[in-house]
Amino acid sequence: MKILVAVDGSTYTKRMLAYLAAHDEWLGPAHQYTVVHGSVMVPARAKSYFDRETLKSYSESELEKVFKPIRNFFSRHGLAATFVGKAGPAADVIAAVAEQGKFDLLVMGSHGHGALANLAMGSVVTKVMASCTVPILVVR
Amino acid sequence: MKILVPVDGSEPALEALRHVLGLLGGGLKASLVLATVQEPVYLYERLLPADAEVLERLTGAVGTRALAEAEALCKAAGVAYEREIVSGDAAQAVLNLAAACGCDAIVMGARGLGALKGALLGSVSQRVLQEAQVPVTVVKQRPSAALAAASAT
Repeated sequence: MKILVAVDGSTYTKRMLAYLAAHDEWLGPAHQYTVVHGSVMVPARAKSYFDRETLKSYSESELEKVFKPIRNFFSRHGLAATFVGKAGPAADVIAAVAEQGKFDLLVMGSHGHGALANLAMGSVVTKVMASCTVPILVVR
Repeated sequence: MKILVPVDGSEPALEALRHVLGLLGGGLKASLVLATVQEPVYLYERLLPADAEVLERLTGAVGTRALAEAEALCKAAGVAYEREIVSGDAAQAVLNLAAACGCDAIVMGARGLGALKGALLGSVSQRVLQEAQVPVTVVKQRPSAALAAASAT
């Protein structure tokens, strides 16, 4: 099964990984994993102050900050995973990757880093649900 | 692992069940609880002269009909399941059932029979998703399946 895991490094991401780890039917060599993260975009005005190399290394280091614990998690379980990181609104990035990759399941935490984290359900979950047809497993 | 699949006979609900059956076929070890929620029978309806529709709800025939297609799918796949027919508010009943049966996950269609055609996520799915204590998978109907269902009717 092709599983897409949406991460953002928040406590909900940790909880989601803990859930996957606790249920070995979700975590095993039988599945193919892709990890996706939509990182914060640098505003165009700010972009103009830096050269391309600086911006590139910045976005890569930001992505790596989020991906590193996930990479450790997968290697600890002896599993391979593909990592996809794009700058853009999280919901759009996740939905686009989910639609293109023909995934069988998208796993995400019920909330993320968003400002209104105490709302009943995360805005990203709602938006992703609106814009893609992949079954979504919401872990809280 | 025990998975609760609420069905109401609608196509998205069956799609959710197909998703679960696919997972089971792929080696997922889980038991299945098929549940359906029918409208409650009110006291005044019991007191009124017998109406065929009310009688059906009393005996659970409405629920059985909603479950029929889902059961056929399970049987075709050779999967064992428990069945539950409850009455009351759909979302609340699903939440209660998940707790009562000790289910570890809920898999449901994005919307059932009750939802408006244009609505993205049915009111029942929405509420279950917000209030459930266990992980919830929402299965949307694939466009191809939606087309097939439309052409079949």
